[in-house]
Amino acid sequence: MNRKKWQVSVSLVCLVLGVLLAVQFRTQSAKERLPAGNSELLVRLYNEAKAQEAALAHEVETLRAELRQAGEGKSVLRGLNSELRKALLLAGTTKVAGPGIQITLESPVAGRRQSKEELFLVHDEDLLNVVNELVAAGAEAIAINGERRVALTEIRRAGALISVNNRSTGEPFVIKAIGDPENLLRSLEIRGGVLDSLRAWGINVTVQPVKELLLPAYRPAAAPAAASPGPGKGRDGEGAVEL
Amino acid sequence: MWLPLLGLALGIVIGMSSPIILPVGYANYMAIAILAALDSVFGGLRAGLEEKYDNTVFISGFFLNIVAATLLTYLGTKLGVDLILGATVAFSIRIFTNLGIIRRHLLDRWRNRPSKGKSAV
Repeated sequence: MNRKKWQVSVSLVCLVLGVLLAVQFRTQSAKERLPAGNSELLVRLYNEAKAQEAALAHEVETLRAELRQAGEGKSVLRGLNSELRKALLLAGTTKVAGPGIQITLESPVAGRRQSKEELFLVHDEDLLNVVNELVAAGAEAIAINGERRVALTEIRRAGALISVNNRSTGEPFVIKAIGDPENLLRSLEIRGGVLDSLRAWGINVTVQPVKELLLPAYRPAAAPAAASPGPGKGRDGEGAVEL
Repeated sequence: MWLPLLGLALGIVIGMSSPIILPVGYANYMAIAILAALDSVFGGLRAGLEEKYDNTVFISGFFLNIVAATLLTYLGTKLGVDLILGATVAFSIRIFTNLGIIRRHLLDRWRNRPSKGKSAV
């Protein structure tokens, strides 16, 4: 009797235990579908993920640096480009357009010429004076009969003609200068100035402001043969960028 | 003697067919509860074999052990001490001790069984 009773109780408890066991078993097998039960695997996965993360972070850093460099390169390039444009403008190796004035110099017609004829011709010095005055007045580009005046330009008498950029040219001399027309006019037309003295010699001088002048590029008579770029970068004492 | 095993089998069937799955975080509590339950069952079996069985002691011990073990484990996680290890060790030792005693009782019983034809050793 007593024996039966304890067996029933133990059986009931065993039933509860069985339920607990089964639930735990199923929970555990559900857990194992995830790798959570395997700490070694987890550690490996974690390490792999961590390494991957580090690699990706490194890549991000590299790409970011590259991007920064590319941006810098771009801005450097842009700076170089504008520098180059300026240099080309100043060197006269490109066509230029802009407002300015046009001066025409012409010797008096033959009938009015007198015995000392050459005195009344337009001389190289006259041209030089005019050009000099224009430069002093702030002209940014000058051309004489279609020859662009640059740093190497000579204006020199060559027989009856005048040589500009080693190309002979004759009357009438048309000088085009790009710059502020008012300034240029004022400084040329100054009383007793360069144009006044030319007129005094009987030379026909016409000056007119032009809204849009187009000046040709400098055409070198020959490519530089003796000169080559010197050592070092840019101008002396300046960190000019090497092109 | 077969009734407890029958109960266990029935419980396992019920548990397997029930849709209950505990959250992974509670697996530890469940495990220690099972250990406590096992301990109680073996203790009950031993008491029964020793003819010292007390139903109230057994039932109250079963549930209290489960609750206490679970609480202890919970306390352990809160304190950052693996008290579950202590519970595991204690219950395991008791289970093995009880199992040993049960085995001896059963062996004694088998040796001292009334002879049926053949003589006992």
